[in-house]
Amino acid sequence: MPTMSQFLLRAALIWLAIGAFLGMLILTSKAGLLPGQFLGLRGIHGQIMLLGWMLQAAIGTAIWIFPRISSPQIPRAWRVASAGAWALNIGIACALVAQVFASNQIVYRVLALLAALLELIAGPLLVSQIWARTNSINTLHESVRH
Amino acid sequence: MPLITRVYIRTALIAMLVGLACSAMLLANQAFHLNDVLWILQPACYHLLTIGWLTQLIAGVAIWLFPPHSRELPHGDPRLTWSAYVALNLGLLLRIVAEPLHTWHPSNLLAYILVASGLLQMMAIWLIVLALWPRVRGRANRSVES
Repeated sequence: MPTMSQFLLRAALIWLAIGAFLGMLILTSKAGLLPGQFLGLRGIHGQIMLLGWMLQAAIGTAIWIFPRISSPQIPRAWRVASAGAWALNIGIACALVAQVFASNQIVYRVLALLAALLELIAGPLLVSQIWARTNSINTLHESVRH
Repeated sequence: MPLITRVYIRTALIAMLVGLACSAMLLANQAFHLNDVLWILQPACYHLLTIGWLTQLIAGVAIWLFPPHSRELPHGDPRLTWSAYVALNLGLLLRIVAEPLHTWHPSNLLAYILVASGLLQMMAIWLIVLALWPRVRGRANRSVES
């Protein structure tokens, strides 16, 4: 399993554990045994589970399993994808921390904006790693020959 | 494909079918305004599809395909994975029954069932994370050798 996949899958598992904990808090709040403010965590809970867990698990697995290509550009591609992985995880972390400062509008907005920007740039950076590898075996052989 | 994976995937498929049916009903409700009460099923529907279907499918395939834990236990400790399976599906089952009912007619009993379902789901996911974490590795570093 390549290092990039290990990073993404471990990050995905961490977010899965955190997301499950938040989900438990939300459900307990819904049951009335915790203050209603915890219901406000639904947005970040969804973000963590969809982006932090599912998206990263899918991308991490794709990087591991998709056909490999030989190219002198591979090291640069890894660096680009690595930047994407860090951007995604820092973005989600910013979104989570923003929830803590939800009462402070300025801090909340800055963190939320930072999270949005980081998540936005993370997508193309990660996709750039696997787009070329979603080819038929003939196309991959052609690219290696040239 | 090991038994544990077959069970995870088949259960995920059942959850998907039930989730799809629920989702179709909600869509019909939105289009034809069948009954406003039906909206109480929405959270249960989402979690059937995201936890019951997607997360359970990913977990089942990961248990099968991730690098082996050890020669004796290539798919990891079966106590962890089976416990996770039971907790996840029991928690989900309690949730899809208790959550809509509690929204419709709140009661203390339903509240406690909801909390129990949240704890079961969280525990299940933490067990899955515990089972998969040591298997997220490259070829060079093996976690346990016989």
